[in-house]
Amino acid sequence: MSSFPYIHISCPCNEDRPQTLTIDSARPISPSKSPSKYNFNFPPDAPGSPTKKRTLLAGFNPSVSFDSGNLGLDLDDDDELTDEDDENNFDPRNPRSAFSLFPIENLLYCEDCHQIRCPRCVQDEIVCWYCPSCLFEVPSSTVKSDGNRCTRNCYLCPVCTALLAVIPVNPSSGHPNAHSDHPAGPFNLFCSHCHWTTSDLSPPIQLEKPTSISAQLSKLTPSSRDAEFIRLKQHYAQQLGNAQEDFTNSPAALTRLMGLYTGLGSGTGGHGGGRKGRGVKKLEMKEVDRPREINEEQELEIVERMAIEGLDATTNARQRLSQPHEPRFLSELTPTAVLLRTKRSKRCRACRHILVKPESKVQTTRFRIRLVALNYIPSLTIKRLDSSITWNNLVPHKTHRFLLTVTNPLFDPISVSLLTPRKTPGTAFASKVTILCPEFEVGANTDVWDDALMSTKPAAPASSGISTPPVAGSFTSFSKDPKMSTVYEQKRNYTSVVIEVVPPEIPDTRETRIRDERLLEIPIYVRVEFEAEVDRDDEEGGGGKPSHSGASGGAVQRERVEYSYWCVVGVGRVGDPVEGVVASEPNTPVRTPVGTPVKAPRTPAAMRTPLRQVRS
Amino acid sequence: MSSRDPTKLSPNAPYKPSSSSSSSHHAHHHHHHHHRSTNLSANPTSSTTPQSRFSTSAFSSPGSSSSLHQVDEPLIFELGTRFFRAGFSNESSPRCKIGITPEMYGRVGLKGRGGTRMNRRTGEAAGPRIRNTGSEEWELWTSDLRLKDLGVVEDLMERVLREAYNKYLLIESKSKRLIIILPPIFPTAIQNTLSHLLFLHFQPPAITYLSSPVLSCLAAGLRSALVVDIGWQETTITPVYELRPLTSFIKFSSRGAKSLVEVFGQLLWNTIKPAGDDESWWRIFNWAEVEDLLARFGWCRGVEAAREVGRQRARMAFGMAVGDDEEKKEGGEGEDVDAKGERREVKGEGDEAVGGEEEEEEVVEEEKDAITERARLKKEQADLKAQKRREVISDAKVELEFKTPLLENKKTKMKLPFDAMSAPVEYAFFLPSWTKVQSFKDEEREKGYVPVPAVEELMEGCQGRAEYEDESEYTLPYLVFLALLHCPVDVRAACIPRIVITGGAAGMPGLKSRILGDLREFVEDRGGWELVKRRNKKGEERRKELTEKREKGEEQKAKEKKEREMLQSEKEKLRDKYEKSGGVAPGTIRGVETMGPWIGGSILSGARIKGTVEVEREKFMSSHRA
Repeated sequence: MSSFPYIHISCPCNEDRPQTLTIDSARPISPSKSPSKYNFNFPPDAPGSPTKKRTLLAGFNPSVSFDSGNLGLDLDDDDELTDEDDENNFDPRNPRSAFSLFPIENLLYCEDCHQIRCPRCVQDEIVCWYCPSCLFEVPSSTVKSDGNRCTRNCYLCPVCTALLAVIPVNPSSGHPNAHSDHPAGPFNLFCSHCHWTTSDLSPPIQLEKPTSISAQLSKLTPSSRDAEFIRLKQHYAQQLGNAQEDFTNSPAALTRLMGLYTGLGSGTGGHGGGRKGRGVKKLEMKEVDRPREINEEQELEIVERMAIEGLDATTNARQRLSQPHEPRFLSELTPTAVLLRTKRSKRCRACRHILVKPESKVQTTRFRIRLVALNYIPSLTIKRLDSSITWNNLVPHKTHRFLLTVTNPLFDPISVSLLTPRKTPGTAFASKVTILCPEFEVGANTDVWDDALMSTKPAAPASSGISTPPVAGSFTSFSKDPKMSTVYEQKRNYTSVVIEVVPPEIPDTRETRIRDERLLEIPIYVRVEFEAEVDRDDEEGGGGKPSHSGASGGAVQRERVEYSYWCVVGVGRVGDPVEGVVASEPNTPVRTPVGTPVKAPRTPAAMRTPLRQVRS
Repeated sequence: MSSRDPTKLSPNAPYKPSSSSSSSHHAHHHHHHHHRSTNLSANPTSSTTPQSRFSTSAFSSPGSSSSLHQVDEPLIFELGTRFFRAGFSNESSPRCKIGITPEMYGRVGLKGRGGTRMNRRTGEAAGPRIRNTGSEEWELWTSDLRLKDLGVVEDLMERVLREAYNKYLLIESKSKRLIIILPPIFPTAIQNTLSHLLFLHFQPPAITYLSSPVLSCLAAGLRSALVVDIGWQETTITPVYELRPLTSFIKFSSRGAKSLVEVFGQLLWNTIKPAGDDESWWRIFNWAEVEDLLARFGWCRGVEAAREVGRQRARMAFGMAVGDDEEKKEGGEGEDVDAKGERREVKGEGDEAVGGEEEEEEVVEEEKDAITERARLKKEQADLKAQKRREVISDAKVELEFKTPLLENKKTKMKLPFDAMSAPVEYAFFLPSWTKVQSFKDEEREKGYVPVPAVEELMEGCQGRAEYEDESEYTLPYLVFLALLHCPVDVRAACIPRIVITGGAAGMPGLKSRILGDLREFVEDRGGWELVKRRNKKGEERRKELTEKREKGEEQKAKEKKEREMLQSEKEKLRDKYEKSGGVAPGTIRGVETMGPWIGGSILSGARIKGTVEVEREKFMSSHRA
């Protein structure tokens, strides 16, 4: 189980993925419709079945005004919600979402496209190859011929994948003097974790020297597979070599066919040219001499060996897959050389600009260029406002308040709009979600000292946010606090707003169904706008953050930048219903006071369009 | 690509597709070979085809390729349902073999599947959509696209490909052409998705699609073969003739490695299931554990042993005592003996586990040559060895342990006889599909963990039971028999001694020889390649014998016997002759080992034979921009 809360960001590349529908007509289900839509066939006796809920809500609707108090508008919205929302909102439960959601640490940011880039929408370029065990850099010319593996002395245990050590077979009986400088052979490869040694193999492998293990091992472990492969290759080479001589004039397939049915040469008249019939006999390409036959005796010998040696002598799936010859018995395993790793630079696939460029030296961990998303996009965190909330056990029908904090990493103040579907999409048991103040400003990430020195800050007019936060627990007074409708807290470069969640009663489906219906994930559409100083001369000079040039005058242009993305907040799991907290209780979901500029947390169509424009 | 002189007839011409991108897989394949012929003949008219001059020198040093050509060498991907293999051409094994696990469907940054999908109490993670037994999430793709979101397939393929490139191949994807090996029947929708995905994310210059049966055939060193691919979701039987797959003669069966695991899981669950519990096995056990155990320890009985078990079951069905050697089902026994006699004629090697004295009698009676004597001695030795082996196998036990979090005891231990591990194969491949899966309980052991059929079932045979039967109803050997039977005669002649069995389940020890053994039995049973079994064979022969006896005198009979013997020795001579040259007499059923389709692709591309139809990036992207 994952630990709550977590926040994942959906890479926007997910939005303009190719529509497979346009390519082929054979598709039965349209990709735009999430399959989860068809997944709602709950048994009718489920406690919170959709139909029941629906009626309950319908009765509930007129009495409580949701957003602006306008009843008619509200109803309209509600209708739309069922029709449109599923199409346009990001559904974290869609199976495809799992492939486009990433923690912010995994994301990059392209300064030119002003867009988030995930591992899927970057192009990798290899800077260098190295062995992660001995940190030896392998030149690119030999990487492939070495089999992408370290050819020095780095070997892994085939049983447990720990690093093997070279030890003498008889450590005690060796020369007493020579112990320190050169221990006497023969040597074993020994796994200090599971105590596997190469002597366990049949036949046992013992090395003469403690160095250049690869060369010794390759001599000691001849593979029958390789032999057969070479035999086949030679056969085909020979065949093709012969064929080339004789095939000079006639289309081989036809001649061969004609030769087959009508005897030598008779069919080749029109096609064979001058040398008809001459090569027909030789045209017949032969199969390999003595192909390996399937041998019952051999197979039964394996069975017998299995019966004698037992289950523990056989390899498991992981051990089998990691070896090219896929051994069946443990005694057939061979030490595996360490796989090389690469340092890769990454380019934005859209504009080809470099996003990440590591130093080419293996030992350094520095980067020349590293445009990580953490430095560009505001990071969201979520906290409990009320410490009585347990993440894993949210109470149905109760209003849970969380504090959503948006932190600005940029040196410019940003304005943020947070939009969320009023009801969590993709499930029949939708929780109601309200962001109390969806539009706000977040101050620039100035130096801490700047903040102290400059007393007047334009981005934070509501200095009241610095006032003491209300004491948790005093609920009634708290909910009437006018601050709830505005920004909850605003500091130098972060702003916190309150998000209210009312989960419904949800049956525990973990054992009977595929998905965990009780998992509460809130998709939030984050739209960020700011005026950036764009220095036209050098575009990707700086390694990390955009250059903060406060004093420079005319050379710097200001540009309005806007980007947006979906993120998913894993709030927790809804627990069992608690007695006393019922849905019909009218004042439990405390709504925003009438008149506050809270917008419908549904993504309006106008908001979605810039997403694509920005990308193009 | 198709600017060949139209006057030059080619047998492949009708298969030529109009454009490279829209051509089906089948067409790709034909083209590939077509091109091979043009390539070799250096046809001057085929100027637009990407000619890769073949150089013999490149072959003389296998394994080490000159760096000059390195740019040209493609990567080879094999897209199985369960496993993805990738590697470089000219190598003897793929660099990686990635098995699909449910974790691959999960989010980055969350442990396991994360909270998005249910973490069942079984500890087994769940995939995007579960239909039958939860096998979907162990699959990269399925041929049944009705309930599949192609987008998920695409995303998963992308993830797998990225892992292959970044972890194992360590190469920039833009630099290498690709050869992708696909099963003979592959959904066009997925192929399209795959091409698009590759060109968009990995940008290889070109992709060539090749058919796996042909490459299996190639990797066996053959040019014609019947390729039996026991894959994950289905078994495909493809006749390949002169390296062309005869796609219209392919046979399919839903019996595959997946059904094998399912049967095993069901057997295990039936063993420990309390009465009245209708939970599915895959919620009790972990798929991975069951599959792994089967891969480690599953085996298949030999032909003789299986026949013995079958005989005993038949005896039980008729209410006769088990292990009574004298009374046997008459028809069955007679044919068995015939079969054995014949086999010895053909194969000349002692079969293990022979069924008793009457065999010996016949041997003594019919052939008293020194050769047969030697053969008999050899056979006796083999018998002894087989007897010992039988004892070892029947005494062996397996101790299994499974995680069963849904049950009271979180771990379930079982001690099963080694015999039990051969039962799943029987169900999956050798019993009619309607057979009810039993359990590993002790009382089932003498029946071989297989239900004893009712008498009428035995009389009717395996067929005729299912109302709407399709080819999946048939047992695997019978389907192989049918596949061969339906082939054109020339193809059949080429394929009978070249049966190649490959695919994931083929590695199970004993399975390959069992399929071949059963196939031999079928053919002998039918008296040749006949669809309809001759019913009263014994009676007819008897009648013939009687009438002949009346007409012919003693010397006539002696003459005939001599003739028969001559024929026999002639046959043997012929066999010896073929054996000397490493072949077998025509008409002999023979299985040939293959190194698998991936190796076939490796050899093929190593020979610098380019397919005529390459899906090129530029072209594809310009025509497919959505």
